[in-house]
Amino acid sequence: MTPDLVTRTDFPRPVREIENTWIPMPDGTRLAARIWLPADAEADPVPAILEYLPYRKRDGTVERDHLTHPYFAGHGYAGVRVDMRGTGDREGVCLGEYLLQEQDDAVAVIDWLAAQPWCSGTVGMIGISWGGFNGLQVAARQPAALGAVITLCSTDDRYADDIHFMGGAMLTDKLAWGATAFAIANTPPDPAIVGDRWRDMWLERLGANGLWFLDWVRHQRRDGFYAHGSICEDYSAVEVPVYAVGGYADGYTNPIFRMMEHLSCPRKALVGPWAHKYPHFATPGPRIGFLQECLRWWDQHLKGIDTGIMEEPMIRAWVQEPSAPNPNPAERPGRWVSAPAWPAPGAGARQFHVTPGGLGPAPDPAPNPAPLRVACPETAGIAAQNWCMYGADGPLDQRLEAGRMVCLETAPLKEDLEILGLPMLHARVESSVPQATLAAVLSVVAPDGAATLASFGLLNLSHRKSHAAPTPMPAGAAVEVAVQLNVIGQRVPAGHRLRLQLSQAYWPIAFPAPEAAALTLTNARLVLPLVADRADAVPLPPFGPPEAAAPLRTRVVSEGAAHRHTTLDHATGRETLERFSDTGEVEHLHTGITVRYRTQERLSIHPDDPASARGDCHWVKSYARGDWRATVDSRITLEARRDVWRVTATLEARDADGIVTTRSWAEDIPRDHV
Amino acid sequence: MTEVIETVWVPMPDGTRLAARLWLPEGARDTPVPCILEYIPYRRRDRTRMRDESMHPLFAEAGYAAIRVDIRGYGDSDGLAEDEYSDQETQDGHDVIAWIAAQDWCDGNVGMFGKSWGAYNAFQVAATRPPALKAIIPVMGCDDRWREDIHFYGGCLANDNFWWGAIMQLYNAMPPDPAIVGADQWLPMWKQRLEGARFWPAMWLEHQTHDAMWRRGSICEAYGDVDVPVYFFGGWADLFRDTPFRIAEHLSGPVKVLMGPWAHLYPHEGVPGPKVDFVAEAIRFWDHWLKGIDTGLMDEPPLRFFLQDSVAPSGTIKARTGTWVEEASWPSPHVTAQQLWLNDGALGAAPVAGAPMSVCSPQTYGAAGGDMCSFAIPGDMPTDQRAEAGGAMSFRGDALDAPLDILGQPSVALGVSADQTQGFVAALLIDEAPNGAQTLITRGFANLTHRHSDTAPTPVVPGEEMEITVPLHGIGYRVLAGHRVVLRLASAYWPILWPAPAPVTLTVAAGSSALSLPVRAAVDDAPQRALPEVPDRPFKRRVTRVRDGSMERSFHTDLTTGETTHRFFLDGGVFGPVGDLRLDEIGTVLSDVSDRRYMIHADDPLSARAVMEQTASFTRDDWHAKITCFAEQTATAEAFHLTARITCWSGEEEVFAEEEHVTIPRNGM
Repeated sequence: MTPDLVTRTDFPRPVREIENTWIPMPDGTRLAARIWLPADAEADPVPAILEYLPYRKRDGTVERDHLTHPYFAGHGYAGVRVDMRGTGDREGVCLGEYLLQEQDDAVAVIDWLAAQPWCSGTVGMIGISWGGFNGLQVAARQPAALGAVITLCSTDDRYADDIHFMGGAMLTDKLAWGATAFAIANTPPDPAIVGDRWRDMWLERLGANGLWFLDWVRHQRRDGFYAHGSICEDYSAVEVPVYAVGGYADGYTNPIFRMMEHLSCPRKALVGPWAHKYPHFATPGPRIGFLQECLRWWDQHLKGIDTGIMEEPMIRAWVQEPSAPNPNPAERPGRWVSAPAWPAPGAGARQFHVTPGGLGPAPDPAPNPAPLRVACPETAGIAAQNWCMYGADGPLDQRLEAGRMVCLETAPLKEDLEILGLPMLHARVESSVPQATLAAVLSVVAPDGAATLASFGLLNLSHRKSHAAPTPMPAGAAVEVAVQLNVIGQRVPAGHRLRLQLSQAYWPIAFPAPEAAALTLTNARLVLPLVADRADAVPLPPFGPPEAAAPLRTRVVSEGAAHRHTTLDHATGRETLERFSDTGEVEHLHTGITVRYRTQERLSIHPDDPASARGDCHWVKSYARGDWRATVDSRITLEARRDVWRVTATLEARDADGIVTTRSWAEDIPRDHV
Repeated sequence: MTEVIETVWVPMPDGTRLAARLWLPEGARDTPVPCILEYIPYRRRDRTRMRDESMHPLFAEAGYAAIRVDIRGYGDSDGLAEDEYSDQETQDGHDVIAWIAAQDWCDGNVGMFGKSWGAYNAFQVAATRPPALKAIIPVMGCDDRWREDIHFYGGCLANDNFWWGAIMQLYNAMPPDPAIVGADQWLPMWKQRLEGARFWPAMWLEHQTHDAMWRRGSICEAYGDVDVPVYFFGGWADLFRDTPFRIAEHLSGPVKVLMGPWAHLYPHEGVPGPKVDFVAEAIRFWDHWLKGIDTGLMDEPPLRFFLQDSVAPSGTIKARTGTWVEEASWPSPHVTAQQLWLNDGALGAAPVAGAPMSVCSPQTYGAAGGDMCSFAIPGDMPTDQRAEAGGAMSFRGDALDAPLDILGQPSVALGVSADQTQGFVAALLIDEAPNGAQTLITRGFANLTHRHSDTAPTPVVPGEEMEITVPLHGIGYRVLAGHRVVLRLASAYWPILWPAPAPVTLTVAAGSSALSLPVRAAVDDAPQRALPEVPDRPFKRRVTRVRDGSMERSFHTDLTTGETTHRFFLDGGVFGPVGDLRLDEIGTVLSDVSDRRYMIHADDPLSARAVMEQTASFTRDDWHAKITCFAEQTATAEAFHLTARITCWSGEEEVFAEEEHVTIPRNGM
């Protein structure tokens, strides 16, 4: 899958696999698990490493499972992939994200694992994204056998830093993820595992799993729906060691620094340039020997071996060098820096005053400085990256935003600047309408003029004081606000310029506010946190090369395709971003299943009309083996009307005999200060 | 009752017969009348039939014979087309007029009119001084094929050279109608036409300098040859915006000019509105010069221009507000040049020295430019210029205290250097509204290798400052108070201009260059006569839509590969998105689907590619003639590469297929 990933088969302990086993829950429901473990584990029991997901262990996450879990097994752990209730080959239904039921089940799974004859009685949890979230959430439940967690690309606060909202503005990724989850939640179990019951189980799921997205849109402010599963509600509940890992190209990196600040358990952070992927095969590189790093962590905390990992600085972060704009960079050159704690002791900050003339060291000396006016086309944001990057969906040359966003630059820097942390924009803001968004984008302008995005942030201005109790902007009055930009480690060499881009729209990242807004900013300051120069910093040990167990054996039955493009319809003025991916048909040789996943997302808007915004997401997931066929065809459309969010969705399930069931949904959900 | 004769044959001295449709007013065979000629290649029997019906019968009702002649090699006319505006075509036009004058229904007075091609050849035939030709009405054409045709803009290669040439690739391949030329004759005639056709985009591209080919048919070479009265109609959204000013200044005979807000459409169908009844206005002119009736038309100030108000930017503008103004002569004493200096990011009344300013425009620059020649097809006008604020140098004027009336041809006197041996400057004059939206006022281009001569290009010396003038196209525009004038300079302008072989960085020293705006003083001179509005004529379009059409005009960016595509798709072709149409009178079903695409990568001028695919057919009873055309243009640093492919079928039988590859060295463009 990645050319520089070294395949390891020479493990210290031979590995055996339990293709499927059933873990009983207290209510009688059984969860399906796949387990790799040392062949001699019964004689020499090992800790278990649990990865607990709704993404179908049998055919959904198999590619990465094959790289990871046999590797752990070969090094003396039981790698355990469990499908959540109502997903994959598991029984029951699944009614949403991060439910209490999910966590209860996980606690029961951990108890079961600890009691197995091959298990030493200690369990670790690892996971990325959903599996990163529930590692933290389950840790907060304090199951006795849980010894440590590695959480990647996850959050401690499901409102502040999840795929639903950014700064209180609704992300279009909420829709994309809603559609993805909708498709996954309605896929069938494998008859090879569950037998003839597969169709009845599928029908139960299709009838009951529902459209989670409706709940997600109904809850627009930070209420109990999002507080549940947010460990920030009580950081002290997490007592086991936590290793938080992420990358700047991902959407979940701010929480890592917040957790380092607020958790009290033993903890470490590793932040690279990566997108939403495990660091041994993520882009942008450099990739690292992440599984070796995991073993150091597991050995330390699950086996009591002192690997030295806890003597190293708490935080290890990449500081990126400038690089030419490229939506799909293979590498982001840079260097590792460290901090013993967060906030980093001794780290300074640089403040720039933001005036119509640009970014400068001093405020505008005029007695009544001219305000900054921000009233951009709704298509501002055309060069943005995905809120959460997966690979080839990075930002374009930010010069494309000239004329769309208000662009303010420094003079060429006289000396290098090394940023590490969360940039902040402070300003007094007046809005022409009660509900508006302020977007701030920080980019680095090379001497040749090319501008590369470094960080961005949004603030729903009615959430300026609280995401839980929004307050409309006052008419005719300016209020002080602070916009947090995403954490970044970025060197800006002398001769380069910093550029701040401002807009009241940031499409297609966030849905627009209901009405076109004009903002006026005064006394605006951009504050950049800097890398602490530490003379006493110890050299950081280098990471090993990226390596993993043998990849999944597959046969390509038909080629796939993918594209990501924008279309400006000159006849109507509407601009559309389309993302399309078709995996083609791929046969998994170990199970004989042929899978094919197709997805098309279209996000479109007219530059003059925020109420024209709409997103359409379509998924087709197909499974086949022999005569068995199952296809889920699901669509969700979200229209951002002035007063309501209009959600329409359809679901069609087909098997070899034709349509199994169809369902549809349509609901207008009033907008609630979003 | 007007007598309509579907086909009359006009014999040429060499025996070639030109096919024509003739409208004779009642009584003309007893009392001869003057005749109005329209002489174009676009097929009088079918493809212009509906448009002809909107004008020629009205001329007949007004007491004129009206004749619509197809040029040699087109429609049902004999012979082969050599090129646009060939000497043969001009001579034929001269001979057609002699034939008309000799007909017993003609009183010996002939007027000639036409839009676009028909405007060019009205000028060209007039320059041969046919004795019977008494007046011409050129609508949206030009006097100078080098400076203002679809081939070159400011001496830079226009993609319209390719596009229009590809349209003509199709026209040159269209068959005669068996009902007119004979069921046994049409196929041999068609094959002969196909065998003789050349691929004009390549033929034209052999001529990359201002040589004799472009001087041919350019009446500016000898204005004195055109001495008949001229009434020129034009539009600011059309291509031909300088000819009215030049002919007003240089022609020696009586000249009238009417410049409206229109795209490339007759003013009675003019969009953006307001429409003007072209037919009524023409009849007043014909009455004066062909019938000797004093209509008062020639007592008015001869030049009338629409000063269009600021408008929000949009690729689709149906109507504009504005003010009609008149001028007695051009140059006008009311119009004076106002200098605005290109200072550091600003336009100033006085020069302010400063650091040099540079830009290397991405090759995609120009995507908001619309078409140079709008046909008022949705989306074909320039869109919000804010979208292209990046990638160019911008000079922004102060907010205006009072409206600024611009009338004439602005220009930019530029001290500029470039880092390559070849390149061009694109200059955009923009109206910025208080809300930040930016509307294009006008634009112009200059090929740097033509700074000394457009006949012998001179390579640029990298880094050497050049004094050049970038002429901007003529315009009548009122920038409203509170708005700002913005000038933008770019080194790429795709897809209107073909890019230079390498990315070009232009450098301009602050305070050394100036924009010259022709500013018209506020004078209290409201025209005495209102222009005729288009009456609601009970005009029966005897046409049936047998299949609905569609269109796309889009700018597409593949974010993974970086390739951008401008796509112009019309199911209905030059008729717009009309699908298939049956002409009910003659039963012919017309089909025309065109798909034009321009591809480029932002960082690679040699990735530029233009493609045009067209399919057209003519169907009636058992007659089914179908044509598919493919045309492509690419370039290396050294040469242009063109491909042409054409396949024709009669029914299911392929009757012709040809593919051609042409390589043409680049010469300064």
